[in-house]
Amino acid sequence: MSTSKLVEVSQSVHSMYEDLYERGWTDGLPIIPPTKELVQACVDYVGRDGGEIVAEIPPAFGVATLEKVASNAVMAGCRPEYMPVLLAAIEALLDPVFDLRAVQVTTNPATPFLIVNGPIRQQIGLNCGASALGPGWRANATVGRAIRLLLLNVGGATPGTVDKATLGWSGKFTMCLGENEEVSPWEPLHVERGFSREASTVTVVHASGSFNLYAGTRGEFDGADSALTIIAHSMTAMGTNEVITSWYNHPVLILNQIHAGIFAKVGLSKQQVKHILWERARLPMGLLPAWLAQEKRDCNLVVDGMMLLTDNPERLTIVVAGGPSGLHSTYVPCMGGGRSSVTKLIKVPGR
Amino acid sequence: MSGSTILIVDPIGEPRISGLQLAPRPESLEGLTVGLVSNGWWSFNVVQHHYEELLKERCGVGDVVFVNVDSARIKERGFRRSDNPSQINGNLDAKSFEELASKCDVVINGLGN
Repeated sequence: MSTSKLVEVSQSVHSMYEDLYERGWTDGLPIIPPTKELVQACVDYVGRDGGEIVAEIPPAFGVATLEKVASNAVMAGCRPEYMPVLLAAIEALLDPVFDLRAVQVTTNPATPFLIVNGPIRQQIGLNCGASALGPGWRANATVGRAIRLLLLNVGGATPGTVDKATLGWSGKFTMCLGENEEVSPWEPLHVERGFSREASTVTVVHASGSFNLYAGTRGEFDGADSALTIIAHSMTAMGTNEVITSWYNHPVLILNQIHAGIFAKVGLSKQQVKHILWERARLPMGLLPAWLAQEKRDCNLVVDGMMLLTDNPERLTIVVAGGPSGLHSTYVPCMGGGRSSVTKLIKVPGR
Repeated sequence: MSGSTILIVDPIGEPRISGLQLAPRPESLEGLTVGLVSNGWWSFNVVQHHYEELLKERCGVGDVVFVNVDSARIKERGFRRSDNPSQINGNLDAKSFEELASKCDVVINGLGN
């Protein structure tokens, strides 16, 4: 049952874009018109009532009915079969541990980063390989974008007024990839978090940015060791929230398949890699400003004169993604402050 | 709908509760109790007492109550940020909210950072 009002707009693509942009309904980019037929196709795919309330999204606590989710999904360019990913992502975002309200209004550039696991990756054509975080992939681009549009149009996070991001970053338009489970030597993220390998899940992360780690090896004899050292020390950039805030941070490392393979080849499990990185991702306390050093002491994050990145190596999330060439992995510093990434099951209709 | 227009499904989600009104604003802060809610960031514990002084000196405020969303406890004078290393920018719990409502005439929210 349709519950949303219908709005009359110009049929001209350009005029409609101008109109919707002036209304503040876009992310600044052109959109697909959410006609009744296209929206209904998304609702029908889910097989539930369009008026069903899915969530109330902070900070405005706008009501996201299934139809509103579908409308924003269509605007973003989604296909109906992407809807289950969006619904699971919304469920994850609304988990109190994620603290979406803070993400929506903070000066930090944090944005939801969606990591998808399980068979739905192939079913919707989600890229897990080369350029998975880059342009050219409809599912990656539009699933992340639909979430952003929902945060704007239902959550009310208008940039500059409600969304207080000092600068923001391009990941706020869209940030979504699939874990490249098929090339990973380790169990995928969702299995690590208690789901079956056959399940499909989405994990939402508070990404404050991403930076490339060119962790070259220059020789096989110490390849794993040198790559681990380069990656670990890259994770101690002092201006990231991982270092600046001291409350149970949860950074994410996207390892390319070569790095993961090198580590596995010398017999390292994912947990062992986390532990080694945790042991090496430390800063001498003498480098820290006095106030920060005091805070680390207050929070018991000091061992032998070195600052720990987190209190526990398991707080580091590792996923494997990207193409088969190059020694580029990516570090995703997060908003921190005690917030955690959240993983939810994607419920595919009829399965 | 004319020939040159189409109908689209409104993507905007309105809140369930609408039409909320701002609380009446006092004409003066003279003699009133003001609550200052900190989101827990460092800068607030540096400036909080300056706010208190300025509010008293310039506005004649009677008393200032500090609330820290970290610990969700009311402390009449300051707090340590490491009291509860759980979550910064957290939500104020209902009990603290009620205490603020009962103690304060005016509450200023969103300081720090």
